[in-house]
Amino acid sequence: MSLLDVKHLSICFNSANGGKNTVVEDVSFSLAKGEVLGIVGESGSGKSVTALSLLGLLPFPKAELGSQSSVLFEGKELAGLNEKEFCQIRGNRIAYIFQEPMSSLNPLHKIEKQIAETLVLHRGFTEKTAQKEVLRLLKLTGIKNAAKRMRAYPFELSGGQRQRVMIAMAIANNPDILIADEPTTALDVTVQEQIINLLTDLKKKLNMAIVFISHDLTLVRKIADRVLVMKNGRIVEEGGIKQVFERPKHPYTKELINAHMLLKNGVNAGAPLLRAENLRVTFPLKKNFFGKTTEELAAVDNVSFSVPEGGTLGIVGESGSGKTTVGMAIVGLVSYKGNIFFGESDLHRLDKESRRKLCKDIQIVFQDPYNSLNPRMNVEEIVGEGLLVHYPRLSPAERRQKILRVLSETGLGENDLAKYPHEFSGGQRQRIAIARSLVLEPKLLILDEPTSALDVTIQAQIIKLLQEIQTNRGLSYIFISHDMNAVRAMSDNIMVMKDGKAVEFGTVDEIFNHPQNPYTQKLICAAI
Amino acid sequence: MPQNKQTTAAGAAAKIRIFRKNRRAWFSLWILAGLLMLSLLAEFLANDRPLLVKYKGEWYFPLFNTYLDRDFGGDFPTPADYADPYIRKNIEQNGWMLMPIIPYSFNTVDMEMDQPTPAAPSARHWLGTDDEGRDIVARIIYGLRLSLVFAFLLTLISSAIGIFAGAVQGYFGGRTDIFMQRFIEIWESLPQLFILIIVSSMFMPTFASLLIILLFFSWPALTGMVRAEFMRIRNFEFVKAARVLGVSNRRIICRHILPNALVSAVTFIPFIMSEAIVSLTALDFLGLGLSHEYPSLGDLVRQGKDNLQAPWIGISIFVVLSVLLTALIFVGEGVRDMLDTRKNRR
Repeated sequence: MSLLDVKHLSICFNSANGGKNTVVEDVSFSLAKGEVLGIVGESGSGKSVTALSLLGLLPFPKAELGSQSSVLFEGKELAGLNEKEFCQIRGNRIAYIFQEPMSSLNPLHKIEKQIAETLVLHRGFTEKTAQKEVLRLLKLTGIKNAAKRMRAYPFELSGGQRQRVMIAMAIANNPDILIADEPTTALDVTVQEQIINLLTDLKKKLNMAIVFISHDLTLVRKIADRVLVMKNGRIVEEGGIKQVFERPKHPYTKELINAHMLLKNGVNAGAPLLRAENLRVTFPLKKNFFGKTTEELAAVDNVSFSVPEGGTLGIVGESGSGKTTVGMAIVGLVSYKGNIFFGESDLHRLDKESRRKLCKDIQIVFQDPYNSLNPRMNVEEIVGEGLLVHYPRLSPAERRQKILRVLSETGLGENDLAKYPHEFSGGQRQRIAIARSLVLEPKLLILDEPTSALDVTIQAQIIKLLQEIQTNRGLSYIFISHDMNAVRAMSDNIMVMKDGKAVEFGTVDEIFNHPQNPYTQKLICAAI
Repeated sequence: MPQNKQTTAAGAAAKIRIFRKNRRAWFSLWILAGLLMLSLLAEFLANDRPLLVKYKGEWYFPLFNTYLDRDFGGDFPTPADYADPYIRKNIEQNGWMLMPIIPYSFNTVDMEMDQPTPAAPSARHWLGTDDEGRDIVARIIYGLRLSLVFAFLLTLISSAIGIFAGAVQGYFGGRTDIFMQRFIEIWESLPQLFILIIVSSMFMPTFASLLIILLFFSWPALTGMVRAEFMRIRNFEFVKAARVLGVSNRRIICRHILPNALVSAVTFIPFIMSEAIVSLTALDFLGLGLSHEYPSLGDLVRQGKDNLQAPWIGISIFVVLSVLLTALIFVGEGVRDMLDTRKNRR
């Protein structure tokens, strides 16, 4: 008999105006002891809600289970249990790891106390006897220096360490099922790899079943035995990991898998358009009494690179590696030392007016499309703003024509002109942001993680769009990302950054097929 | 994914719906609107001049023109006194005149009263008179207008100055911010009451001069909050994008940041307004505010205190002030809840 049997699970939310919004519809699956089940889908596909419903963590009475829904755990019906009965199971038999390790630990308590809490609650430890057990659990999760780390507060730990603490809390009561909801999404690639290995390891040691929820196919492929593909609240495909990945049946699954296989079509790159020499950006950490900087952080440290005309430079690195700061320095949002040449002109030597004119030629697209559009301006105003600044003499009709032209290039239409950003999805917003940059006909476009906030299939669409624009316009790109697959699909040359320094520079083939630097090797290993 | 609060123009209709759902605030808004309308029509409601006179076949509009005593058969080249029995008899013999519902203005002293002042409520004076024989209803209507207009102007101008200062501080930051912040700290520690006492002992404050003096001290109310909002929003990516586009600072402040930063400032405006009414009333009560020629609510409060044997003065002004201030606070609460995205998400 299987450990967990979910049958005909439907969940709907009652919205404020009385309507019903079905988020999960007729989902059935089962989980055997010691099995890892991956649930894959985009945001809004209902994968998290499904997992939360297993533990009765939905916001009742706003949420409602369908009448046919049944969740059998070791033959016992969980659907419709009351809060008290759920508490017997929650954290004890079925444990849960949340996505955001930064916010799911209480910042005011030491690690030890937080882990000990469930031990005292479910396993009858006293606070003193729990100490030993906490140490054992922390060691099990591979935290270095566990005895010392026990007395640390959450803010003293890195993201990866915090996620290990969360895992330690989850496995504290030897649960039969561990539900991991995007446990690695907030972490850097190399740390993701470590957490996955840890989970696989723990599964073997403790013989528990894992439900692994993720939007990241590569991760699921690494850890899961079986996989469910969800879309719009339904299961569209289910099967063994090999079968689904190698012979996907449903068109959506194919789309998901292909989204990772995008490849660069060759572009003939010309002479260097932008050259940076010994670029250095520092932020002051400490200042003395007179306001002089005594300690500083080198976010970008002596980096040199060039971007060919019509080609793409990819910059990869983990968070904090200084890759975004490079982009900010080029567009003039942070001050820098060293030289940046655009064509023939040295950006440092330009007077204010010519620097402002240069804005037309260098544009940037930001990471978060929810943050990068003014919520109080409509699409026409957002896209047209650059024209107002640089071509103030255009008549409204001419301006509208130009706006419409770039909008159609980025896949938007005339009826979108009067809409406000909140009426669009993330991918569409990113298209608006791209249109805003393109309307001035720049020569260089800096793309700062343009796809990281988007779903996989949307990412693929945006990357395709960017490739098309490049071929049509002969534009140069600087593509900044932590996503190796996206960088591979976009770049001609790649610069790998770590702690502000460029550790490796080369063409796509060189970097991906013969990485020299151990850090690059690790990055690529983790991504593929 | 950090989604920031989305409050857009398209959401305006929804916001108004939320505000209307708050019955208390919606009702208070109607009360306030009613009071404002009443007081704006003060001249038509309470006046010692008739609204319309027909005299010897000709029309007269005493509200808008000043007519002389002579025009209505009197002897003097002075403005006509329509309460004078001789003039009244003359007009009624040769035509008719239409008096307002309350035939007294705020400064009309009722000379023909058969009671000592302050007179108790009667058919002649609905809420009685004050100790100088002036009708209390008339004084309240005019006093409301004065208070509302004063508070409105004070709120408007001081908010505008405060928002501007906060915007400059928050957007430019750095040294500008430090100097302005220190200046405001020193400014706010000036003893407001002492300065008012000194100023009002030197000359009789008028509407305009009192407005300016109170402005001096009330403008920093919003500065801190607008400054903080600007500091938050200037780091948003859409502001960075605008800077990369080469948009000028002024345009970024006005078009990009201000509309987003104003939400929290607007929340405070009804509260600032009720504060302004209170401070004007308090100053008048203490005798530091407007001179006696003005029909101020504070003056009525003082009269109520001085004439405890005539409770109708104190009770009427108490009721008026409490209704006015409570309604303002309720409207303020309604606005605050309307703009609170977290609350509305439920």
